[in-house]
Amino acid sequence: MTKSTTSKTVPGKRKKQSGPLQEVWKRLKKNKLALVCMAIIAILLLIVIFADVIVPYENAITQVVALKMAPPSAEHIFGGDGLGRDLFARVIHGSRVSLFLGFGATTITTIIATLLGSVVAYVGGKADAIVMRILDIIISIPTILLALAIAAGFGIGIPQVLISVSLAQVASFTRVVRAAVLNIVDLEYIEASRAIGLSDFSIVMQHIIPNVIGIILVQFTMQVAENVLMCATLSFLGLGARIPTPEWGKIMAEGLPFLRYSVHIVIFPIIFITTTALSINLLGDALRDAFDPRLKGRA
Amino acid sequence: MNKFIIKRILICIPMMLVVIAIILVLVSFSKVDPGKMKLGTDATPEKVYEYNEAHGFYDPLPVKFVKFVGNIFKGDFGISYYYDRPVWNDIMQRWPHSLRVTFLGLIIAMTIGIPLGVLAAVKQYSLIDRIATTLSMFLSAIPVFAMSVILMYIFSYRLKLVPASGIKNGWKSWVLPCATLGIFYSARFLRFTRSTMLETIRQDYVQTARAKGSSETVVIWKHAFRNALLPLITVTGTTLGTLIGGVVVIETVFVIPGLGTLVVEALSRNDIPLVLAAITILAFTFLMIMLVVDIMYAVVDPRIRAKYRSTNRKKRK
Amino acid sequence: MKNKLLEIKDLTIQYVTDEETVYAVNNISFSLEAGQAFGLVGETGAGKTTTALSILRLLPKFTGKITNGEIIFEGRDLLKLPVSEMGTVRGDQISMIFQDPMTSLNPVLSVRSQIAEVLKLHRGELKGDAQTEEIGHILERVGIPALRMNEYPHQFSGGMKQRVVIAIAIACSPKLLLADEPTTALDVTIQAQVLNIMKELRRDLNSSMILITHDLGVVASICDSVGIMYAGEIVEIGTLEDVYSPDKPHHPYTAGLFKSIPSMTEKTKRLSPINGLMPDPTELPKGCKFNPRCPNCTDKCKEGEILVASKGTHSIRCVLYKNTDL
Repeated sequence: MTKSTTSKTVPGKRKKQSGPLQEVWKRLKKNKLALVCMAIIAILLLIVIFADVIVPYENAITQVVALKMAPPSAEHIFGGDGLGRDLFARVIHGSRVSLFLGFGATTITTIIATLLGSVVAYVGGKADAIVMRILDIIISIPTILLALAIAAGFGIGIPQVLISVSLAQVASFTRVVRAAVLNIVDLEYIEASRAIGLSDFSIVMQHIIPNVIGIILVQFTMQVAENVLMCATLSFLGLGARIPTPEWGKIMAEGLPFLRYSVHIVIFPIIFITTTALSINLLGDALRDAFDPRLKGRA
Repeated sequence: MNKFIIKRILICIPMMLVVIAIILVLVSFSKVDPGKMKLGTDATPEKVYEYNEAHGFYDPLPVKFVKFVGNIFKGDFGISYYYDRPVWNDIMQRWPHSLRVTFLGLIIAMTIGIPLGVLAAVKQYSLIDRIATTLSMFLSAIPVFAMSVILMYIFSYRLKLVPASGIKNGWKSWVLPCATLGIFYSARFLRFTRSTMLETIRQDYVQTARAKGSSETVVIWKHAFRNALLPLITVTGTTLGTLIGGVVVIETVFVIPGLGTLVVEALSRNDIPLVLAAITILAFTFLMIMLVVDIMYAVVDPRIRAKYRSTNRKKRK
Repeated sequence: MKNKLLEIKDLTIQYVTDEETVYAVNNISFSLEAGQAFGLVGETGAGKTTTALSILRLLPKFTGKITNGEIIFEGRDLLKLPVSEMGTVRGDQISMIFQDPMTSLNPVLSVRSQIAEVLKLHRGELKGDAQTEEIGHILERVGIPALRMNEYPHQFSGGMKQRVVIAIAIACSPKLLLADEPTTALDVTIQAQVLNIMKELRRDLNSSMILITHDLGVVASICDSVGIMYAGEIVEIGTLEDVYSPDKPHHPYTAGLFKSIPSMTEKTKRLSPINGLMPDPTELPKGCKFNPRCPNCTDKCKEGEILVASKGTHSIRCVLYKNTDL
């Protein structure tokens, strides 16, 4: 996979090795679509970070009677929503909430799944069997039902959505990590490491995790897109962001009653959500191809 | 084979119990006090306590669990906090609507997704394939509620072809909700069928079939597709989980009085018994469909059937 | 002059993709008479399977291109037939046995229905009980008890699976049987059994056979004539005696192949493989394709077309020989 370039003039000294991650980056850069996606995601991140600079938060929550249902204009690029708030402001600030939910939930899931998956695969045996059984049961409950049950017990709000979504995904993510680790644990260089006295912890840190990073990264990316959509859906149903916090799903829920009269209220959040999810998904695909070109062409 | 079916049906019981337990545990964290809700804010703390005690609100969790499960068999889901009437009636009234959306949606999704997936795989890289793949990519980036809203706007408000909401207009009311659900999830079936078919078409036994002189149609359907059916059935099971979520959304957007809308409404009114019952029935529906899916898998795959063959038959080599 | 059952002339096949072109088969010619068994020998990647697939026109649709040549079967050029008519040839007049029995059978269909498929296509008049009876006969012929016909492939061992594959191939008593490394995936003992069955069948049906293999021993036990294939070319061809006899001249590759077989009688310190590897089929060497590895390589070998020296049944494509040398 990687070639080490030995400096010809000075025996014993090696030029910097092109590690596997750099190879992946090189392959990724060649993919034009991936670059476009990365650009879009970068722009989104900028929007999230500089939301306050782009448009003040008050605009997103202040109701102005004149603005009710107003169509897009020069001053208010996206127009006004049903309650007279500046839609542009709401969508821009909503991106913070939506992306925070998506990334946040995925991060929590990833951390738990990586640790759990690696340990369980490495240790094996009974612990492995028990944990997998429990996970199987959790997977068998549809995410929405879990989220509803959590909402019933813990109320409505952003933290609740975060917990619901991240917990619901932990099971499948752990499975992925576990499978990846199992592939590696069997390899002989783990045996060799043990033979020279490396502690289990070191083995996990130095050998196992770096090799599964690729798979985790791809899974993470795909999961973020899914979670952004999932959290938007939960907010749409009223289980997430509370009034007056803007969130893409919530904005659409608010616009639904007014759909008969004007469509702009829902068009803009839809464009943002779809673009976000599409870019992240395509980037995930590209990442997967970059990590293993042999899988190219498979759905 | 029958052994397998019986075994599989029996497993449903402990599974259902575990799921109920999990849901119950989560819901029990609710701080909603039934006594306060029923008796109002000026009731004395003693009266509230009395009321709650009588209704088993302070029972330890295991007791609650046993009572809950026991009551289900009696057809009793408790009394709604908000409506003050047995929950069972509301549930049973709304369940058929949810079932209708679920089944019609699933059937439409499979009817569109699977044949298109086969086509896309057989004619890989052709125009059809490219269009199908791109479309399904878009569909998976847009949330269900967004698509529902868009289709509602186009077909209901603009083209005025079908009613936008409610179920008062006979079969027409169901067209848009079921079609939306179906089209949305067809993308998943399309993608998966395509990728599985691409793999099975490359298998050696497909080449053997061609060498026999079989026509390409026979080769694709009798050999490749028949084998792709197995993972396809599995994916139907996993899609089902998200489909249920889709049903809740569809019901909300198109204002269909089903279990989905029931839960969401009940949540906003803190009507815990209603929420609990609705989630339980939805979970039950899900597990039942999964049961059918698993049995179908055994029916289609002779290798699984063979595992459960009865011992009086000739022992296999 | 006997009527030839199969005549292949100047066959050239390439696999064309966006990135590269693989020159799989380069201008080969050989022929087969009725009842004759021809062994096509070569290393992996020599183009043997490609040749066989091309006879049935089963090359991959988009990438496999027959750029030149004729495949004349019973007087008809198969390459000029409309693809729909190939369906009548396949399975009925020409059958193929594929390499890996583990994956050649459809796992979800019973053995019976897989054999029935061939019968239905080409012996449609057999229906119901008559068909079942015939399937039973066919299975017994390959040594499988008829009452196992309703079982599924996974219930058979590797050797039995291969027999099922053979059963499917001979179901309609084909005139030509293409066997692509039929015993490579099997244990040596099972190999012997399967080869015996094939010999018997050949005798009973008087079908011709093209046996593809890399195993010289297998060829010796069944075939009448042999073709040695290297990098898409037939470098030596002749009767079994022509090619196997140590007293006759041979192509250096053939000589290398025979020398690399470990001897049962002599003691040696090391084996003598042929140096080097087969060339990259996308970038074949000029002149003789074997020249990078040939111990007798000269300048003449590196350029131009290498002429074939032939006498009677024996031909060698090598600069070293002229017709009179053979």
